[in-house]
Amino acid sequence: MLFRVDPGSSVPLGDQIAASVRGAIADGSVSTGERLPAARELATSLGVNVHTVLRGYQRLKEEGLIELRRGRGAVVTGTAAPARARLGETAARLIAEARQLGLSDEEIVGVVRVGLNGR
Amino acid sequence: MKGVDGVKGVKGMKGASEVGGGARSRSGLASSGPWWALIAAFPFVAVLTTVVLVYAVVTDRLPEPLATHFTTTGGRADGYGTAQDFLTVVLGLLLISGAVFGALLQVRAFRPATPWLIAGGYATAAGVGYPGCLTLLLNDGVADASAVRLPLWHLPAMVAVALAAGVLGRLLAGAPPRLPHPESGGAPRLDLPAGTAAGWSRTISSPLMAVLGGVLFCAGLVLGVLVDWPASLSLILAAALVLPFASVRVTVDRRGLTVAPTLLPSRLRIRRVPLDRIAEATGRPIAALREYGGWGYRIRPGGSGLILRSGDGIVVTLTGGRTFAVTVDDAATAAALLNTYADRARSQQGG
Repeated sequence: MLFRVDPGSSVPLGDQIAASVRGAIADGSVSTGERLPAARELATSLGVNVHTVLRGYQRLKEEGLIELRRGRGAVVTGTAAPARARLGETAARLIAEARQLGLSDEEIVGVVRVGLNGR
Repeated sequence: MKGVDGVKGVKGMKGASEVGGGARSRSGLASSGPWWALIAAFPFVAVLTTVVLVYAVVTDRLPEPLATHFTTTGGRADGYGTAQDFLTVVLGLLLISGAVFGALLQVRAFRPATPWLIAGGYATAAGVGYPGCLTLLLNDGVADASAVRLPLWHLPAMVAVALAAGVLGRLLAGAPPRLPHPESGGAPRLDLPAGTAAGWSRTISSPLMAVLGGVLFCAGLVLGVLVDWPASLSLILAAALVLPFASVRVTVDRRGLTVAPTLLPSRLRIRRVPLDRIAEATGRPIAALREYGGWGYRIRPGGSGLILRSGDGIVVTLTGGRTFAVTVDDAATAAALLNTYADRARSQQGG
């Protein structure tokens, strides 16, 4: 499992960490049950704040890709299918593109809602 | 980025990794072969000759049987044997230890340790020869073997003589042959733009170690309940040594290669190889039995490794020429990242 962060990028570091995990699940190099490094370990590894890592892990948890358990760390869940991770990646691309256009968070949600209603 | 340009496809990976291992080391020792062999064999030959000479001189005046063992408290004789048996045992010990050291020296990939092996040979030969000659001399001219006394100052003297012989051997052997700096550049690098940080981390678990540790622990408990606790303690201790290897996290980052038990606090590491000690890393299949003679933390001539299974593994060639290996999935990515970071560390040191 390879984590990459670029402090020079405009993408928040926590999101970059989440993107690393998402990408690894999507390309199959990380599979169900794999335990991610503890947040503190990963933070010293990458030279970032531990809260940054936790933000990234929290995001992955909300996407249903990992489970966070006290004392057991972060474990890739059984439902974390590669396809599901790719969907998360697509969403991340959508958000990045929308932000580049200057859309606010509300407006981005609006775009998705319009898309859903249109079906 | 320095690590990326100019290295891809310049040299085959295979060539570079072989240079780090046997080929170069072998030619070095072969060129100075006879000298080393003479220096290494000298103590065993010298002590053997001395023991035989002493035996030849005193053999007519020895009691039958002669005192061969003494109490450590008063130096009284408490073991007896015939002179011939005694000579056989001493000469046998010398021949066997000489053969063992000879065999160790034959493993030529391990050159930095050669002088220390030779020193060990000197100390061992002296440590066998001193009590051997001493016993013969103490029995010299005594009618009744039970009257033989061993002055206890001989015990520290024996240690001192062995140590002195070891020092002499180390001096005679000279400085450890320096390996030329392994040139790097053959192994793949990970494309990592400057300023970007990356970390690679993966766990590997070993059902073998988990079962072994569990069995040892349970056996310890059962033995403790049924027999006594001191006996079980060694089994539980063995379990405590085995169980951390049941699950191990391998990390590659800006600090180097780290191997640590998953279940223990991350400060308790099995091994860390800092970047400045890394000449080159490769990811390749490892055969546990053939290359490392088994599973677990293996120490071999020329290198060591944490080998929990056969298959994909990271093999790091250290700047001294030794290797450290750890078996883990996706080792190629880890090795590439390690090379990239080692390049970064070198360019920082250089400039």
